[in-house]
Amino acid sequence: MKGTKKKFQIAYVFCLPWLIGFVCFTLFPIGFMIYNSLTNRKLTGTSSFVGLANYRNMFRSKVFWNSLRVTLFYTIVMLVITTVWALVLAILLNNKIKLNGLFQFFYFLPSVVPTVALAYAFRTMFGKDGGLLNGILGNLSGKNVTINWLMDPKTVYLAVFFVTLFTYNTGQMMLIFRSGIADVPKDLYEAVELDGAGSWTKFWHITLPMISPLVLFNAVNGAISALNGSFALLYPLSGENGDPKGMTQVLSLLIYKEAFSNMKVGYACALSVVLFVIAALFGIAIFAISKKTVYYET
Amino acid sequence: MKASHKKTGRGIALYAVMILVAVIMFAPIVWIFSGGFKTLTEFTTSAKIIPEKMTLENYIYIFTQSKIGLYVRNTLLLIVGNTVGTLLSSSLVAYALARLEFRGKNVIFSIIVATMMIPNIALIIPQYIMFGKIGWLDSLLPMIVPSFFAYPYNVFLLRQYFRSIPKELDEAAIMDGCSKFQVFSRIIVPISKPTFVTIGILSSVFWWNELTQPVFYINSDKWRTLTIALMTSYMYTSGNAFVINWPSIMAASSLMIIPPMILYLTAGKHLEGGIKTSGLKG
Amino acid sequence: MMRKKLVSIGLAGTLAAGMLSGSALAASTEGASETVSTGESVTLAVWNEPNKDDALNMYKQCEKATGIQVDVTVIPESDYSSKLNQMVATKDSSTDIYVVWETDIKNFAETGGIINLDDDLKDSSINTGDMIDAVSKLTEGLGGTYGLPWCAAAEVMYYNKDMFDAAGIDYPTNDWSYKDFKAAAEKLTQKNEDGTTAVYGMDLPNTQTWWAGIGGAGDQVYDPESGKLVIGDGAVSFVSDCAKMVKDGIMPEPSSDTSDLFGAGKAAMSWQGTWMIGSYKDTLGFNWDIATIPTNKVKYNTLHTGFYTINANSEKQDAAFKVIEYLMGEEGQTINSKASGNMSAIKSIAAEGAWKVDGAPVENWDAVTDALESGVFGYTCLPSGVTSNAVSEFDNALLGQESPEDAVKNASDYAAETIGY
Repeated sequence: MKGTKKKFQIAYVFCLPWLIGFVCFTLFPIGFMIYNSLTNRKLTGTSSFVGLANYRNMFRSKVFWNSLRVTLFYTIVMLVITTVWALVLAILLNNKIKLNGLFQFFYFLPSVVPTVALAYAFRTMFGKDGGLLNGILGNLSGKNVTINWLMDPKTVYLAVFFVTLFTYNTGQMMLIFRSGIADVPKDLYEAVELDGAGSWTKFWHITLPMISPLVLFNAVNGAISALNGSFALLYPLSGENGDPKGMTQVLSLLIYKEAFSNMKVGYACALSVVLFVIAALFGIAIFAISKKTVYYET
Repeated sequence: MKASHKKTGRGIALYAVMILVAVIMFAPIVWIFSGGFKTLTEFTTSAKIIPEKMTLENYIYIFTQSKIGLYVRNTLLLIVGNTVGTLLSSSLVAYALARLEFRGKNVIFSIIVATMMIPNIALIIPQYIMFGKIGWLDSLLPMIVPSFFAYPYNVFLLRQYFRSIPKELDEAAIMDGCSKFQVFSRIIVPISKPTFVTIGILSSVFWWNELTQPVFYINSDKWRTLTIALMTSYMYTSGNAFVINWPSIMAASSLMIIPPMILYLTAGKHLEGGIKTSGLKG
Repeated sequence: MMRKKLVSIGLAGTLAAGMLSGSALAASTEGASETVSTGESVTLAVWNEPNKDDALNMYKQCEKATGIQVDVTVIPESDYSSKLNQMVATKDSSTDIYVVWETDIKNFAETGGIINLDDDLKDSSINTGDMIDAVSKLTEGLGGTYGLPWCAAAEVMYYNKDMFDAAGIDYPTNDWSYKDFKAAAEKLTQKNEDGTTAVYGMDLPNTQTWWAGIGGAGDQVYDPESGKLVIGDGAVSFVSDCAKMVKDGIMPEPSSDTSDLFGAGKAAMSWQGTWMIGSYKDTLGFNWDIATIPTNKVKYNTLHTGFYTINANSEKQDAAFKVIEYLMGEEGQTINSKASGNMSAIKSIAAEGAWKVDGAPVENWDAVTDALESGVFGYTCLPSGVTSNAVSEFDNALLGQESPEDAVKNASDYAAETIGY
């Protein structure tokens, strides 16, 4: 009896670092965020209680609704595009050919390039006058091409989502898919090969169903990375206003702008609450989906 | 005969596709390296990869005029602080979750998994106010201290690994009179070295690249990290305030790409393995 | 974002030679050993790098004159204002002197972050009675002197003389009309064979000079009474004019890799701050001069400055005031003018003309005095999120993504929901 009691205590001591961290750096900030969202706290620290005024103003603001739409759109499209691209890369690398390691190096390296560097590189590659892309198109067409990729509403999403193919998240998914595909039992393929099935059939009927849990998991996991990583990518790429026309102004950029350019910290907290709720919804989704499809060893 | 023709044809097509994709994926990196050797005029007017007029000016500036040494030091402090902190704390918690029986274990584990889903950015404003109140802003503390209180992500990773270690090893040690803590420090930790290395590598890559938190927390030059120095023009000549000196940015970016590249070339397996498992989460 | 302004000319020539890189620290110890050191030191926060040339570095000269060591903390202007707000919020005492922007001084005074200088000023040599009108008005509005202006700068039009010669157009004068300007911009534009533009008649207005154009077209821009952004018909007309110029290829489109086309010899005219004079004098490979910005209805110019203020939490307020006294005095102001090309806000010092940067090819120095005469505190008093948002909207209009009316309306709406929070 005494022994068991002691064991209990030791376990809690082991868990203490987490508990302190959880209370101080997660639980308290959540409460503090909600509390501050009810004040008109400024960056200088002055604040008084204003009730739900921040939320009222938020729901009345065109800028907020635009940002909310952009956030959902950006998150969902990014996860679809990056998941598909990662899958394509993994399939390409699954071909047992010479120099496979070299290819993997080329495919993976962009993911560990600092996001700021990547964003600046693309800002200039998509430049109007000295940009690489316009240069290539100009060479191909023989004309002077001056597409304003990142400032034109017709091309901005094309450009931004292209950039997301180079992020850490894509590289990570590629590696996960790669090992998932390699784990598919060979005899499954052999069986259909006897029926004369082509690569496409093999992929569609065997590989994809076998790795489907990974696809789902990656996709929803990617959503959280998209929410989290959007600031570091878009702040240097399109600025706090999310040019053009706020089309890239995700919530994280708006939060930064309201808190640090307009000094409206209380309002920024209200926006953070919204972002937190969105993240929680994605979190619930990941749980729901993974319970059904991914084997958890608990 | 015909079949083999078809096969080589497909082989060539496959290579062609793979090379094309490699070119696309590597283009930004080539662009960055090439841009670093260009002059501003050339960079803003021509898209050639090989500069017409090579210049080392950008690099000379970075090494002789900017405080790159200081920024590297700060970045390394973040990396070392976080790696040490998270390994010490996360492994303790992970051990309890993997090996000990106690009331509330499942609750704690669920909370840990749940908190992994919260993006940092959602809580950064309240954390910012909080750190301001205790006087930690404009220092590396807000980015290092939390790591000593177990990042859920790493707890999760380590827990999964510890569970794969045969229980018999612990039991034998306990028979020899080891305490729980001794089991942890003498048996579990030494066996888990590869996972520790993996976590170290992951946290290094993360903090080498991290922009968001330094942007929020750092004011003055003495604590700037490489990423914010790059973003706020502290590593490149700006001359005219309205003109971003892109070639200088590219030169600084090239320098920032090299360490992860070397890491990949030397510890690629660890890096890939780590990134893979951190995504899989079990 | 807000003010790529007032980046003193120091930036240009001297930045290339080296930024701060330890120089602030190294320099200050040097200075201290050379002169009678009082053992005191103060820290000063500012957004632009001190001049690399000792003779033009007012902080170093200040050390020599006062014996007080001045440590300069440089915070990049993109987040200068927010970082200062943060220091005030946390009652940070590590910085003694803040150079505070127009938009923040009121807030800081109200929250008690900076001290009232009236008592100190009573027995000081600083001639506050001789400040330019806009500054004294602002001080009145605060109900006391909380800060002293480090300079007074305005915006002017730079033009490429060679291009005017080639096109056979008379050089702009300070009483050039807006019509003259538009006609010249059209004539100066050179097209390629395929219809794209080789040389633009006029460069894009920048984040500062947008407001000169809008104010010049009759809008109030900033209402000191309510603290609000006031734009309407004037903004619509100026934005429409620019949009038309962009459409005709006379003005470049805003783009993600914008560069200084005037400096690169690809635009004939450009509206920028007076502080560019010092930077251009060393870097431009063609003949150039300046003139007052030609505006449509009224002469309008945004006054740019920053205020020396003392942190209320500083433990060295007396030493800090001594430093400010030097920097605001004849010598400090003269060095600053010589280094930056910015005029002193003290009329008698400005009259001596130290701001006419040595070696600059400018003949029309009257343009600067003329600009300052119409100078008011304008957009710089607004939160930077509001003004940067407005400029984004104007850019949208230039790109034909929305009508100038919508752009102006969106900008006003956002300002209305942001100001007065």
